[in-house]
Amino acid sequence: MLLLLFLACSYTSIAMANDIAIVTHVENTNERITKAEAINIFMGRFRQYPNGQRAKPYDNNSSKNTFYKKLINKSPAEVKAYWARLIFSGRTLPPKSLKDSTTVIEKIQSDKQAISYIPLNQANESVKILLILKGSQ
Amino acid sequence: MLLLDNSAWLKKRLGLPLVAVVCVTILYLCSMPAIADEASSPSWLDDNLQFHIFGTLGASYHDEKGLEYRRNIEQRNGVSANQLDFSSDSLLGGQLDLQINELFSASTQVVSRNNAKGNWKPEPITGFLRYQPSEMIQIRLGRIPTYSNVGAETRFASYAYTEVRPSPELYGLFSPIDRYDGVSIEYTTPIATGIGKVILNYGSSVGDLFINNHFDIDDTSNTGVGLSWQKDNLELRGLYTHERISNDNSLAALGQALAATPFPTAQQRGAEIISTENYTREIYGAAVAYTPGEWEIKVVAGGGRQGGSSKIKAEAGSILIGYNLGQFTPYAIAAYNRTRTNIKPSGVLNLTPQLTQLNALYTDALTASKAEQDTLSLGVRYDFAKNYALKFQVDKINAETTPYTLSTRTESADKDLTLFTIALDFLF
Repeated sequence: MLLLLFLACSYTSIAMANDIAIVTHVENTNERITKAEAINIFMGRFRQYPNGQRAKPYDNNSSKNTFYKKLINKSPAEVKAYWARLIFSGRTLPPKSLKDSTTVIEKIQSDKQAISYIPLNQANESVKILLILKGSQ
Repeated sequence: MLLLDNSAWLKKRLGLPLVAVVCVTILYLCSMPAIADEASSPSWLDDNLQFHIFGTLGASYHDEKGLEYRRNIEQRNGVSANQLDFSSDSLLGGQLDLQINELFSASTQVVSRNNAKGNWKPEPITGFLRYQPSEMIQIRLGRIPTYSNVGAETRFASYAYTEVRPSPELYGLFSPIDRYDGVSIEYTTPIATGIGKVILNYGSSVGDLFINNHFDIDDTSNTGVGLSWQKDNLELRGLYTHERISNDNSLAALGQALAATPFPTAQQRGAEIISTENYTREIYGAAVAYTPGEWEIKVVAGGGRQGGSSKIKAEAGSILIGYNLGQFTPYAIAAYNRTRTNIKPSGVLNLTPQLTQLNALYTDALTASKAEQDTLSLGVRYDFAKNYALKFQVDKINAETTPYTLSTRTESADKDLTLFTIALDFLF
């Protein structure tokens, strides 16, 4: 029984580590966003929250590859090629990059329009979770 | 392709004034106290200035004597037979982007490539100021990106697309000229669970072509509308462009020579040429890009018509299918172009033997834009390292007539060839 409980806890912990939380400032008035809205914001198509507020996306370098695989099912090279198309045609620039989750949380706390992502198990009460991308996504 | 006569349009009309306006505006914005204070700090530059370098080192080979394969009609030279050629696909570019403040940003791109003059002099491809008061509205002013590229956004940063090069059959049709001075207004809004976009642009095409001779394309007035709708892995696009070409006197000497002959038919053709210095052309097209999971499917089709001496009608299309296998992406492309003029093979002037040279010049000039070309391509892209992609592509080109491939063969000979290319793309 204890072994089963241990395995269940371990599985939950691993799943949470694989899950990605899309987060924003705690005072941001948006409560949730859909996956389609997250794609629009992070892929430079339409950087706006559902309430009409402008969104400022930031990449988290420590989780970037996992995030885009879950968000749009594309490899890092494919994502880079996608952004090359937009950058060099003068359409828009990619999200600015932050080095790790600690930096992301600091940025989120300082800017109500900021939106980024961190592993779910690193999310705390200092940020608001708008969407969780599950491990299987 | 080209929907173009042998044209040498006159001086630039909008280019220099627009560049001056953009530069002065950027300087003015940066001199505003609040911005100037911030802009002087290194961290502000770190946050708001981006510089990218991109390029391709390509090598091509074919063994068809008398033919020179060109990537596009802007190139003075092509890939000669039995020689490993490094000039057709190789290029080097750089882009600087500056976010001036919440509302204004600026961007400039310079590319060095084998051009219509046969040299590698760096050319400013874009240089514009962007005003974005909201996520829904963007206004660009200066040397702006050409939205006439219905099938792709950039034709220079090859890392951005799967294949070695954009199909010349399409790029010739939709944007033989890659520089555009003017203004564009872009409106973006959610539509039917996707994102819709309308782009209106007005300006002037600027560039160089090489069709028998080198031409500067300057004196044009271009109005266009582009539409797109995007959801998840699906994107639909459409465009319509209306262009007015003025003072195209590139065939004036030929027209006058024909008009001076004692032959009524020649006089009539000469008068036609002289009277059609001003004319219009229209280009329209649609594209679908679908990238579900590992697949990439891109279909583009379009057409155009042009007045002037040749009265050109064109249609073109291509389909690309690719499948991503981790680092490898094999792909196949089929493309075609049919560009016709009102000059039939037997419709040349029936002049006396003494005027056969004039007759030949007339025929060459008015049929230089004709194309009947199909290309089947197979290739593989290998993303072997971060920021690098290696591509190998084989093109089987079947051409009855074509302005892309330069030829020293007789008029009746076909211009078929098989081209082998290996290219290294990089991006920093």
